[in-house]
Amino acid sequence: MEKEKNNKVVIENLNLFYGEHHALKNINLKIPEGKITAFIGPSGCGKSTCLKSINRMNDLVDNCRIEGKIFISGEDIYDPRTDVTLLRKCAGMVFQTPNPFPMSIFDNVAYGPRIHGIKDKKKLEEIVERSLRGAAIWDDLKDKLKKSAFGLSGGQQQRLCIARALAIEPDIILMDEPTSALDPISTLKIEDLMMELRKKYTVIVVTHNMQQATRIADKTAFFLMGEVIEYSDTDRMFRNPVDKRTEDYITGRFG
Amino acid sequence: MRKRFQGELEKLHKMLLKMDMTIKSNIDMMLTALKNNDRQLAKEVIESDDLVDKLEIEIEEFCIDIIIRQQPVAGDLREITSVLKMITDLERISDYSASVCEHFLDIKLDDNVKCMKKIIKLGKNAKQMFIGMIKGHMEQNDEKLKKVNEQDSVSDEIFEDLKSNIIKDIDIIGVENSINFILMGRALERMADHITNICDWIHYKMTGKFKI
Repeated sequence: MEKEKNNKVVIENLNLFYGEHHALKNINLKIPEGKITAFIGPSGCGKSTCLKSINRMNDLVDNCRIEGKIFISGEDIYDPRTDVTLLRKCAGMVFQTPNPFPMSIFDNVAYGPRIHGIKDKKKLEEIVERSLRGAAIWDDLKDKLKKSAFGLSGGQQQRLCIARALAIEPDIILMDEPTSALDPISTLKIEDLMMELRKKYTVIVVTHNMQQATRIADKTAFFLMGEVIEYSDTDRMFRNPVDKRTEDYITGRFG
Repeated sequence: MRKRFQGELEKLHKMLLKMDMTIKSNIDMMLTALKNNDRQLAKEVIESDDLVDKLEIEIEEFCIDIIIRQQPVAGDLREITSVLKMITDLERISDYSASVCEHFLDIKLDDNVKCMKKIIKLGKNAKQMFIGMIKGHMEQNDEKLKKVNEQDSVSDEIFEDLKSNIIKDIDIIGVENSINFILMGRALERMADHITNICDWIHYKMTGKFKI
């Protein structure tokens, strides 16, 4: 099914239940290609749940039931015929706390491509270099590829995780509070990197840091108690939000 | 949660109101000086313009402080940015009342009662608009602000009328007096324009839209 061309991800009437708990209520979002879209909202509002629905990570949660549709490039990802492994290849994920695997820097980045069947050493070396360059960390790490990823700083580990996500050549990068565990300098480096990534990928980021949303996001969705209250261009939302609840949240009147 | 920020916004309101009231009193004094041919009072108006300049800088610095510390967004951001814009217009209004008084001091009154009446009429209209603007702001009343803006055309008409009179009677009024009257009229007409700008900024603060 062909959806509007510039929208990479289209969420239609999405309802998600954890057992009895109605965690996402009738979500409708059109997420544009090649842009950064931020999900903001107080804890427990459903923003991470919504993000994880985009690469079907909620499938891994017991008692999780999903209604509605999500299209990526026009393909319904909840169609029973969809190959979930391929879907997750298309939408790479970066988490809140950097989570490198207990192996060398090289093997961390090569892990995904190997899973997808690439064995050729030269090819893997190419992918590792390209991915580390893409994550703006090649120069820092090129001489220590055989060393353990655990020896890196938090900011470097997070960029390594971004490189690992890039290695599988995704179209979409999902980021769940990617800088909340990092110091301000590492945060700015990741933000710079996100601005670079948006030239080639569609980036969706969950953030608690509203200044971060204003700095980097083209579009912002405000979630509250499982609903999307407002979804608009970021500068519009932070200049003149339409809904009073959005205004109250972003100006710190509750949250 | 926003206790400190709220306190700062209230302080900003008070500072802006002080600037409003200082300028209102300058306009009052300017009108009294014109009506009573009080040259000493006109000099006081010129001197008190310095206080307005000082208030403008204080408010400007305070707004920048708030932006640095609170990084305001949405209604808060509009509040701060609109104040920053308003004080520029307010400062210009004060300049114009000083300027009217400077030209007034250069005028030889004798037979120029007719022109002076028109100047006073312009001044009164500007004063009414200024008071309407303050009320509209305090009451957050868009309708009142709209009415103030409509009143700007009255100033334009009086100024046009003044110009025609001067052109007609330039020989009687004299060239130097004529120039001073035109400049006074022009200053008062511009004053009204700046008041409408302020109304637009109040409207922006309230609604996020630029023009009433």
